[in-house]
Amino acid sequence: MATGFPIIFGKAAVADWTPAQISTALWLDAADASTITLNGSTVSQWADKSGNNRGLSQATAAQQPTYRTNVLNGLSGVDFFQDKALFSSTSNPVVQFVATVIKSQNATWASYHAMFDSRTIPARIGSIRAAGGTGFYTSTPAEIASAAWENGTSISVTGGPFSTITSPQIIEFTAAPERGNPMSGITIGNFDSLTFGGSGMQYEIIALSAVPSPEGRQKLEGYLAWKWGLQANLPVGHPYKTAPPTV
Amino acid sequence: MNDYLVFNTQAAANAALETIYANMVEAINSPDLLNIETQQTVPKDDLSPGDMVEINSDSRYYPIFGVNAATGVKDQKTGYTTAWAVSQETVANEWVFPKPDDALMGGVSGYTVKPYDPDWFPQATP
Repeated sequence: MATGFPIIFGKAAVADWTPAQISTALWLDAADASTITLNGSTVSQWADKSGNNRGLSQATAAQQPTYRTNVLNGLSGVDFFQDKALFSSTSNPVVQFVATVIKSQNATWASYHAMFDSRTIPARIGSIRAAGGTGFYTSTPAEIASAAWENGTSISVTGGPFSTITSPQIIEFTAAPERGNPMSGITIGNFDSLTFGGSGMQYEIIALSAVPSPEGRQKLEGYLAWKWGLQANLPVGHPYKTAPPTV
Repeated sequence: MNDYLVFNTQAAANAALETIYANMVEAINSPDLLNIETQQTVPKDDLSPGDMVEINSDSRYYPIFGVNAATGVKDQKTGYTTAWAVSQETVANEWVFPKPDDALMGGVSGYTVKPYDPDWFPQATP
């Protein structure tokens, strides 16, 4: 039997682009059930697909987030509502850019929610969503993200208000320059090393050690949008508005 | 699940947490614990974090060991549950944590049950 490159109508077959095509510092994908370890219906571990073995875990049963199946475009999410968290105390990656698909349980964040951040204040990279608001938490001294995007459109990094957050959004940000990097541990949900915070659902998180080019960022937006059924949220003129990125 | 147990002291809360965790372990019958390296039954009183044991039945409580969501294969090393909760101090100097299933409350005393109150933690700002 002949083997080789697949040919369709005289052209090489194309495949959808995924973050596996680039170097990632960490990649969490709730749609990939093989990366999820469950205690009943709650998540005790979320394995890293980057190849860097930076999976997050939660050994305390009452603080484990809930695995929600078939909740977005037929895919699953991890629900951190009511003070849930996954974390790592041993992973300290350099992270300059984060892309995630996320939604809030309520019209405003019911509690502070770390989308992807350090476990110590001096090393925060600026991901925390503000309790009672819709945008980023901004503190003094500053830990404000350098730039941020919502569904491929640039947004304010100093508080919002943003669009409705009770429906899933693609949120991206570049790390706060004022604080430390590499990170000091990793947390999602609770902020720092506390057991408070966590008020939203996250579906996928991609962390990079360098800020991508605009084209690279748009490719990530296209990948996330088409995977999670959010392509309608992309702005008109976005290069992946009508078709997903391919390799 | 929104109910919390409220204690007057951290010591009382932590003692209750130890009892609840012991109840979680107790809920798993010892014949169902199997050392996967020696294939010998492990007495539940000898269970400790890191033991390569598996549970051969589905517990109706919170399993001590997780399973891979895709394959159902038990994950003895990374899915290990070491506590029910972490007690937290409120502004009223009480100690609280989420209430577990009633079946795990045996031997727990000295508490009151209250619904979660966000005002317990006004200091919880980043």
